[in-house]
Amino acid sequence: MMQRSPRQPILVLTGGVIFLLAALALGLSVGTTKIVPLGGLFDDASRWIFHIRAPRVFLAALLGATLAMSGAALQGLLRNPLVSPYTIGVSSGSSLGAVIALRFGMEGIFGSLLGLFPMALAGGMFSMLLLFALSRRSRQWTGTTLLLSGITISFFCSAMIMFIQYTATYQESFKMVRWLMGTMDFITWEQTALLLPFVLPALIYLNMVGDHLNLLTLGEDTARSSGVSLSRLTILIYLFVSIAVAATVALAGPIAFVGLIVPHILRISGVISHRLLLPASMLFGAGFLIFADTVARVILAPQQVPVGVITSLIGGPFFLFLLVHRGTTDTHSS
Amino acid sequence: MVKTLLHFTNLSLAAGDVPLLRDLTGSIPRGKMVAIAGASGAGKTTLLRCLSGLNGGFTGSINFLDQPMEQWSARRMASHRSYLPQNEQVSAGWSCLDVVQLGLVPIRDSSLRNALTPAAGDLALIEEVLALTGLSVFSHRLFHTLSGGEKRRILFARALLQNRDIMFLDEPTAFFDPGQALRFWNLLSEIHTKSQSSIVVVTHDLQAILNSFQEVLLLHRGSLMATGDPKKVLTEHGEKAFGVSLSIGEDPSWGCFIKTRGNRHP
Repeated sequence: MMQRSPRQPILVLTGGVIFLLAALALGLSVGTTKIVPLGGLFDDASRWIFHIRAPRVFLAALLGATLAMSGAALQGLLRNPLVSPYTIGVSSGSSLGAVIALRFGMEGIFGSLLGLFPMALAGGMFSMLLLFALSRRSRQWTGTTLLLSGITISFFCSAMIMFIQYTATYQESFKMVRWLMGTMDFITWEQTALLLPFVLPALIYLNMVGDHLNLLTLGEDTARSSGVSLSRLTILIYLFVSIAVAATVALAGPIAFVGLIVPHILRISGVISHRLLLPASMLFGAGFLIFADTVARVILAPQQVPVGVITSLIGGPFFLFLLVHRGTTDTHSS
Repeated sequence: MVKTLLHFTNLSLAAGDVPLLRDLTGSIPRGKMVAIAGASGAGKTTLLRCLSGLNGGFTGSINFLDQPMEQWSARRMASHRSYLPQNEQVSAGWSCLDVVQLGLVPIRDSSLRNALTPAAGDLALIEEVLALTGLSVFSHRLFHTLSGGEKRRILFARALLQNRDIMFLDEPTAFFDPGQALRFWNLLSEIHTKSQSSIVVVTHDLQAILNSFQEVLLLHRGSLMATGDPKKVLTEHGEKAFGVSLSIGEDPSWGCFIKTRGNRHP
């Protein structure tokens, strides 16, 4: 039996900060155009980095942090290791909104991607409200109901997306497919800043629910008798996560795997307490997505591979490797 | 100090069309060990959940420490009583120390300072509980590697850490071997005497009810059949409640014992 070090929190969080800083340095210095970031503060290279590369790297950090942390929180809340931020139906709603925007040529209305953003956000919010309405009507704020409703909404939206793709022209269809792979091309500082008001509340709130999620690992009755209001916790986590995830999907498409895999890698490495798991997911998720996006930018340079493809390609095998070598992620056997 | 722990009037609860509790009226004094007994499906767990504030949706009224249950928030309730559920699935990965330590969460403010590692004073509290329950040797074992009985003891230790003044325990000795059960009842009596605890327990262990408890609430098909001194209640109503013949005896050195013999189905 392995005994956890009392210094584990310090070690994990320090490791997360170092990992994130390393990813930032790598993301800012590696790219299709060979430039050294320390060449000078006001030369062309620095300006290039500041305007083209930096917003994208910071966006990747925000997206990674949001997705990984949301995944960790939802897995804890629903006590199900297979849940990811995309299981709750919001991302499919956002995708549907985006695909409608692309189909009717609305993506260019407010500039490059910004016309698509409000449509996708609205789609995500709509599916969240639908989920809330269903749960409220059945008076069951339980994991199973929420999970099944979310998955059903996802399937419905996917069917709608396929239908719209079928009616689209080749050019529109290509744009949709590319968008659905999850991509961060053509990112500006404005777009990165636009995301902040949507994801910051979630990043702050989820850092505060660690205790409640810990109590929930002992079962619903123990959590309730320890003062956790389960319906309130569920509604608030869903609300913050939905808003944040809808915005990330609206901006960059659904980026697969980050929200599922980062929390699990941490769990396999012995991070059990949600008090530590949530902030650690935030740090490692941010670093992981910067790293994946850097690979996406350079692997087929000058072509850019959608980052969602890379996260799955790196994440999948690495996850399987850990699974086989470090034991089980079945965190919910009794 | 409030003398009555709980007072309930015309308490009823149904799940859909199925009545679980039918019009119960009674009270539980403070500072006593009180058992809730009855055949399976008589409504014991439902009653315990209602009384400990975990089950809403009942009709009638419950007063906890002379205040209507509706006025007790989940947070405030958590600092006044602890509750051990009958059967809970615990996620894997926690050590026993982690599980016990979670008993402190409801009674500590969740400031960032003691967020990740427990303060020295808290550690002493945890160690005291582990020593009291004889579980110190398990503290660094992984919870999910324990046997059923050992798991129950760890979960009991968590409840004890949360609050030992008022405890609600749902079949604490399920999965215990006879030795474990006996030591548990003795420990519970010891805690009760030392801290003047109010302890409400759902159990099928009739012998323990006779020897360790001051009062029993006997349930029969969702109704309160009898309440009062365990020996009297079980002698007068036990046969009907459980559908068996009962013989209760007393031995100066062994205490009360109970013999059962099967009846033919009525």
